[in-house]
Formats: sequence, structure tokens, C-alpha cells
Amino acid sequence: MIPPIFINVRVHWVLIPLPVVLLWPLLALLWIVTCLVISVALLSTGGDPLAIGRIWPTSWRLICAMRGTRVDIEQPDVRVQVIIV
Amino acid sequence: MTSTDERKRILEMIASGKVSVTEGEQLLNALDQGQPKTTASPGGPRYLRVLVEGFERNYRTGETSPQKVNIRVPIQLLFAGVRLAGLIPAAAHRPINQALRENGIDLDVSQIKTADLEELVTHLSDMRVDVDQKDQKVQIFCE
Repeated sequence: MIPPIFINVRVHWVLIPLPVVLLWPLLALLWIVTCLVISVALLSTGGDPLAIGRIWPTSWRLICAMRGTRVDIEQPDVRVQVIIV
Repeated sequence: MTSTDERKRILEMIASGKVSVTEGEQLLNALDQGQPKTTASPGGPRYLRVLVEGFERNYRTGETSPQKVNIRVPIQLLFAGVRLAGLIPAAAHRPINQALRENGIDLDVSQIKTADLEELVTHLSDMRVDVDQKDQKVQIFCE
């Protein structure tokens, strides 16, 4: 499984290829916060807080599955396109 | 021999009277059961597409302008999402099922499996939603 490499943002005819590698620190931070929140939620609902450790491969699959996502918005005065490749 | 050839041969046998209609039906059913089950990939749909074409009204000027939205979401995201359902504690299954039932969805969250989802996704390729209104057009389909 290959993770996304670029998030291509196109505004009008200007293409901005954003390397995903730059987002890794932000994603890692989000991952830690999410893990903490889910663990607390699991603990308070009687679930196994260590279950969070088992979703790591799933979250990686989720990131990899995002490749190919595309959002295209066209208006007369603006055109925005986001493609994850 | 491909399944299409076999099916054609059975139909010819029925037409020529070599086998009865009931026997022919049994043979066709047996042929269907012998077929390998299809999976969501690589033959199934890969993307969920949402296309919206309409007009957006500017509330300040009152003018309307055409707007197009085109969204493509990989089906694989669904599979990854279902695996996350494994996090739901067993104690929470009953209230979730009850809440779903109250909203008209008869589904047991503890029974959701990737294999079931593959079947669902395979059938999604036949699904198409078309909403055609005077000033708005929405299309949802899988490809």
C-alpha cells in the first residue's frame, strides 16, 4: 500500500503540488490526540482502551485509501480542484 | 468452456426438449452456485462519484451564478472505515442497534464484516441516483 504523495491544489490555472511528507508532523500530532481521546472514551464506556493499538494498520489503510480522492468546484469566478495522488 | 457457453448449451437443451424446463432450471442454478464469488476489487466499482450542477444565489446582489461540484471518493475508504467499527465496545452494540432500529435501519453493528461490505459494494455498481430539478441536477453513482 502506497500512501498519498502529493495533494494537488489547483486554483484557477495555478497548480500547487503539496508534498504530503510536509504534513506528516501534523498528522502524527492528530494521531496522538485522536488516540488519547478514543482511549479515554473506550475506558469510560467499558471498552478495552488498548484496542486503540490494534487500529494502527487500519488507520494506515485509511490514509492509503485516500489516494484518488478528488473534489472539483467550478463557479464562474473561481475554480478549485483538490486531488490526492 | 466458459460459463456463458455452458449456459447457452443448457438453454439449447431446453429448447430442443432434451431436458425439461425444471431440469434446465436446476442445471442453471447449479452453474450459478459453482461460480466464484465476485469481490469489490478489481472488477467492482472503485469510486463513488457525486456530481452537482446548479445555480447559487448571491444573497447580497440577488444574482444567480452556475456552480458545478464534482466529488470522487475511493470505495476503499469504506472498507477501512468498517474495520474501525471493531473499536465499538460490546456493551455499546445494543444501544446503537436500538437507535438504528428506531430510525428505521435494521442493522446489527456487531455483525458488520468486510465480506458483507464487499457484497454490498459489488451491488453498488448498479446503483444510480439522479435528481433532476429545474435549477439543480444531482447525480450519485459508482464507477
